[in-house]
Amino acid sequence: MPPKLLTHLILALVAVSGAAAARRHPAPANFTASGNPVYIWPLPKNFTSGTQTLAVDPDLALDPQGAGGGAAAVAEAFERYRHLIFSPWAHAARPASAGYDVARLTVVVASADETLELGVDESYTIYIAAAGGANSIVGGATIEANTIYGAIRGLETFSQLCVFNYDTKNVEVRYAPWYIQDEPRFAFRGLMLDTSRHYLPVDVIKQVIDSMSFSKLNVLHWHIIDEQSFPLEIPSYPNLWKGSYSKSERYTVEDARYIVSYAKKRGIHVMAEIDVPGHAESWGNGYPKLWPSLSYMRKIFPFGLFHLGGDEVYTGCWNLTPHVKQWLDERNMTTKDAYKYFVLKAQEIAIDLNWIPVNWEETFNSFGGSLNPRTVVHNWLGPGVCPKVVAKGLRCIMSNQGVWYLDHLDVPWEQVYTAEPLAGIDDTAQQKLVLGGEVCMWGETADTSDVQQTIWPRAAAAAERMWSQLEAISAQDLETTVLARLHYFRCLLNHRGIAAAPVTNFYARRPPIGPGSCFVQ
Amino acid sequence: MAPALRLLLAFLAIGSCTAADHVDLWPMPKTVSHGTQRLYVSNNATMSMAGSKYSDGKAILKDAFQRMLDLMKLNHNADGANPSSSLLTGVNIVVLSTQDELGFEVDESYNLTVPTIGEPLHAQIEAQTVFGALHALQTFSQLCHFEFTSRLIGLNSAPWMISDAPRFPYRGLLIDTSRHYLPLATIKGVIDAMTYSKLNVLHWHIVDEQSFPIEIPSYPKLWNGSYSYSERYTMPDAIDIVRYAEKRGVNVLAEIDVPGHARSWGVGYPELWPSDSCREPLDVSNNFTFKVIDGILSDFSKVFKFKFVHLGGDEVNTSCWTETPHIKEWLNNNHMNVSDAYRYFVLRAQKIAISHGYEVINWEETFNNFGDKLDRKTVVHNWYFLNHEKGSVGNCRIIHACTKNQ
Repeated sequence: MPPKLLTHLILALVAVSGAAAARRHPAPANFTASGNPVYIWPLPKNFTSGTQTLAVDPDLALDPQGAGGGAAAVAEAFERYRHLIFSPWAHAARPASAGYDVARLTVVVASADETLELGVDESYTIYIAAAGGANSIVGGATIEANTIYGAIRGLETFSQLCVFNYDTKNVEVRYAPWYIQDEPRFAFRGLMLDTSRHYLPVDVIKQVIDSMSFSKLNVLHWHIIDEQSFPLEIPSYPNLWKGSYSKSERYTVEDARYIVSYAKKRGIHVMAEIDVPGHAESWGNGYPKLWPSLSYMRKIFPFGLFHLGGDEVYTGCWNLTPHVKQWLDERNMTTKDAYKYFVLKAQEIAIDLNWIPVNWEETFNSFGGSLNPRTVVHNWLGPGVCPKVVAKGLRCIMSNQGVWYLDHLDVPWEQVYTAEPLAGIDDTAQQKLVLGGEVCMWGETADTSDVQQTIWPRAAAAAERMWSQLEAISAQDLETTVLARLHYFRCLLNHRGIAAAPVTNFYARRPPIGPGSCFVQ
Repeated sequence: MAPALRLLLAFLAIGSCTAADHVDLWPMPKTVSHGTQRLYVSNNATMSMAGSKYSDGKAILKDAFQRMLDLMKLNHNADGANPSSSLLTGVNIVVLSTQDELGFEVDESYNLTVPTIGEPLHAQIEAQTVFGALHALQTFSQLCHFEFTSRLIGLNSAPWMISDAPRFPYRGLLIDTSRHYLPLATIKGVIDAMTYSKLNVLHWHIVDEQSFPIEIPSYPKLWNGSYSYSERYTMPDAIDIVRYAEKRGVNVLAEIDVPGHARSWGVGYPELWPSDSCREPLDVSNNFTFKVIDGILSDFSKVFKFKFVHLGGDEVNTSCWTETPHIKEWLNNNHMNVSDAYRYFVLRAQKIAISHGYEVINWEETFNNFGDKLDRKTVVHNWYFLNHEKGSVGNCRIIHACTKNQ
């Protein structure tokens, strides 16, 4: 921990100890000292709060400190959040008669390194207090983090603490002073988008990325290509994107680069997927002979993990096609051998390009012992898979379709929330092999018109499961505390322009059943 | 040969291509003719106003042009190499009137030509007002598309000669922010989408039974009837919406529906309810009711500049008037039955609106029940009957709406 952080930590604890002694320990999970639910989503790891209300200056200034504080990404993130916090009320705001308690946001970033890799330090602390009060040493607001990505997570939390008061017409922070120390439980907190079953315009993907950052999800798994369409430009094989649905339902190489860069500014990785050997019918439209130009993609997608698919491989066509059958016979292979051969060959290519291959679980179920030991197995078929994977020493990502497939509309938010990636894994060394999880927005029945209301608010339930501490979220009462907080977060998403659907409908993405407040539907 | 003559000959040559074939413009312009050539729009397309009487002091056109360029590219990088010929360098806009105040029946017509001859090649817009020019830019944007192979913005089937004007001056969309609060960003998104299809009146049904989300400075407790603390619009929010719409050629029609559909008013002022157990319609016997209406319309008149205001008047169930003693007494004293009282209410509200400079729109029940007593300038808003079976509307103007039950 950097020395400055330690000093602040000590000072903060000293400051708060002057107040009620009961508040020296972290507040009961997700309640403020006054007993209200904590409307921060996902729930931070540790926090204390008070009873004061502080007015925030609409001309809030950024005070960047530390080796990384001056990074452009920090300044840009600050501008985005300043816009989110103040602009909806820019016209209504009246100058605070008593002046502002928080006029400056100090952001201290210890490291200047901007490399975004899986496992990058996303921890941060926030301290907000009024200046000169009996219980505080420093006034204003401070975010401290080791990396710029931790600072960005801190800015999101800060933005959720700022609320517009319709009586005083000011933006305020309630229940101050706040001291928050936060970091994620899992490093891989993903959302999968499927742009093959339906093309999603770049603007829509950007909006999904924005909404991910609001709930601290950090991996966009881009399932770009599948049977139905091939929308991505591959310059070395320019006929491949003839498999797109139409001439305009396409992504250029620049589009892909732009999306990766847009995500990076929000601390979000983009994991591309080229699903082979199944799910590849659209390739045939361009080239009869199939092999991806992965080396080109390596330059566009810098994330350390690359998804090679490998699911739902129906090998009937291999046996029925003469030249393929001949090839199999020559090598004394069954179709099952050939499936294994294909997957392992693709893995080799990816590894040569310095990628860690991710494969859907059938590869593990069929020939787990032969998979490259660096493989990350992506569970989806059902529960109880990650325990088997980590027992074999491989890493795992959970997407159990019974709970985390967003196209399954009959999974209400409670089931999404209570799904636990470490279920059935007691050995702590094996627990570390679970990288995290991912909610999957398959696109067969979701397109631009309804993709966001299908994703939200249920993806938020999974986001908290993956970010927040197990003890804290298990301690909450689902139907009172968590529901109230999720309602609040859904309304926040709506306010930020994200079409999150009502929380309490049984089926996802259904319209509200009648008139009502955002906070109860 | 003179350029004009060359142009004329080019058009004559293409003349046989009319809108009978597949034209991807929505809504379909009044007259369209086009050719078969492909043009490209320059990366650095510019807007000029040579020959224009209007100087775009409010940057209405300048901002619209920039929005249009962004729409045409739709996030792709249009960085292909500009071809040496068939390249449109920009758009020249001629606006004949200096008037830039949006209002009912403003001239929205325009001519848009995209020639294939000219040095430099540019599209030409002519419109009577800036609002016609805005429509022309929308149409132009629909002619353009991002070409994935060349990475340029292409424009097919040139030359184009489009002459357009709307059939009706009132082309509206109603949004209901009482049954569900809609954040400002959502309302602005709706306004943007309206401009894509050239709709020009946003009918803002702000308040109803379930919630009262808007700030009324004259009666600050009214918005206690909002669903929650944050599901509210301040007056500056409303001004922001009106300005946003105005810049895009969209009028905002505010509705304050009385005397029915007003249960939410009493949360802040319970005396507006006939009684605590009977809360609709608004208390006709109480002068305070009309003071509040006057306050609301006075505050509206500072924000909503459209010449009309909508006073509702639909679905009035008068049983709370007959069942509440003090109102029953008032009816007796004034020799009124409930139908008289309903008529009295609507007409009195109309007069208040007129005193604030508005012309009034009312839902059709008012016409169906006492059409001949309505102010002569009233616009009747049909919603219930599909055909105008209920007798002639006489000299009243009429807006046709979908039935609510659809």
